[in-house]
Amino acid sequence: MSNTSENPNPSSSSAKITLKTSDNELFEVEEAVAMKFCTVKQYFEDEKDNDVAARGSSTVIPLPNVHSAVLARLISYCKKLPQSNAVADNHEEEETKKKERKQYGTPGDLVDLISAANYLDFKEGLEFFNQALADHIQNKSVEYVRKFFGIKGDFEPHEEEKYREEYAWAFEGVDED
Amino acid sequence: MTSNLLQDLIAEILIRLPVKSVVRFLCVSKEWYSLITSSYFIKMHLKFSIETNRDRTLILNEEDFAPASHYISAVQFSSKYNRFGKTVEIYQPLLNWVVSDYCDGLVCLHNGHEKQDVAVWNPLVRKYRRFPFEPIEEPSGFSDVRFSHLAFGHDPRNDDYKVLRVIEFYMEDMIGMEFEVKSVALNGDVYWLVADRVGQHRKSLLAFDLATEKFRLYGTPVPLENYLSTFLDVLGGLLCCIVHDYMYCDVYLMKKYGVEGSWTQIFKIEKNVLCRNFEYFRTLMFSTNGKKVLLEEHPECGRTNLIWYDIEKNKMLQG
Repeated sequence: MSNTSENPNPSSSSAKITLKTSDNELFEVEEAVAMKFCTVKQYFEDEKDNDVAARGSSTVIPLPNVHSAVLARLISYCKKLPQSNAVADNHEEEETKKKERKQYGTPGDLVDLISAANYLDFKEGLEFFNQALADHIQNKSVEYVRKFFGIKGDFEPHEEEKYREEYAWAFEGVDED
Repeated sequence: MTSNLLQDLIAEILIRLPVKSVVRFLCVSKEWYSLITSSYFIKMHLKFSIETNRDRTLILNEEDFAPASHYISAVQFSSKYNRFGKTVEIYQPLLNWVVSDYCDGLVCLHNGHEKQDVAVWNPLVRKYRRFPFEPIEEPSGFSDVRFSHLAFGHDPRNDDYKVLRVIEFYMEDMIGMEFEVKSVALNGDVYWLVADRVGQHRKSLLAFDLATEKFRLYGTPVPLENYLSTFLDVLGGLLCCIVHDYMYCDVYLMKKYGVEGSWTQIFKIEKNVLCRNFEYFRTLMFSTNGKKVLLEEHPECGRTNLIWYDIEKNKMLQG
């Protein structure tokens, strides 16, 4: 994949598609990148069917649910996609993958990336960021997870105490929050 | 930090966690509890575990002679390092029970000579259930129970796990007739290698469908020769036949489930490339990228070894 997708390059011959984010930023991306987002692909194909001559390549596809900061990260992830697919087979590869998964922002950003990837119906991205978030919470405490996802614990204290006793082994070796 | 990730997105994240984390997060909220304990989630989580070798654990039957006792030890597979770690003590609810069979991370245990006490144990969540006692009725004309064998598998049609008990009875004047009743369970069927078809040159595969409770017979690539020792295993979710010759070990996979013609030889190990004098091996699993196979090597005497076999390079690596 070429690396010109984020900055429009007038000399490039490949077709470009313009995406408009919720904060009214315009992104001109290569068609191949935009087509990874099934929501965009669907919109683009519908447009083509309905109204070919009038707008042609100047179509602007609105993405009212995606912020520019998030879209920029998703596009930069798309450019690196080919390296991310193979299954890790040893410790070094797995560590590299973990590092790779960490470079797209803070754990809080991951939630936005997951929501956006889900809205855009971008399968590989969704799997990648889901795994990154899973890596992050794997050794976290119940309290951390509640705070992270904005969830209120609704078990009665004695009920919760019962689970913690029954599964005490699952609460051992948890990271500091 | 707040978010309103939809429930199915939460599920997609949680299936990527090991059992220990998921069990801990049962008490995050009532909503998470009902998600994590739903059969939909459990199935997705299991599927992900199988695909990625996550939480893969080797459960070993061990025996001590003085004092005589059975115990179970476990070796945890690290998908991070792609190898098995050291033997770990695991929480064992039923002392002196022995592993009969396993399926989907559940272990079927038995106790007593005739294996009348049966339990199903989930080592990862540390829970077990004992089965109600089911007495063995002797058919008339036969005098004694000689051997009883348990098979354990999943019945996908009724989405249930079933234990099949096979009992061998014998008559007093019968001379010894040895046959192997060890089975493997896969995709709702229990399989045995049998030398059943008269006049056939190859062994057959007897399948018992756990849903319809009916038998079927398939052909195999295994020649019907007395000197060969043959084993049936499951490897990478497929039926696997291992044939031990004097010189070679041939390993076949039934590439298409239930299709006789799909038996394919995946590798052949020349016995003299192995430094150790082993009696036989079984295939346990593929490495995460499918290039290596973990073999359980049974030497002529002494302890069982685990070794990785690199298929392309035709080389053994210590497990």
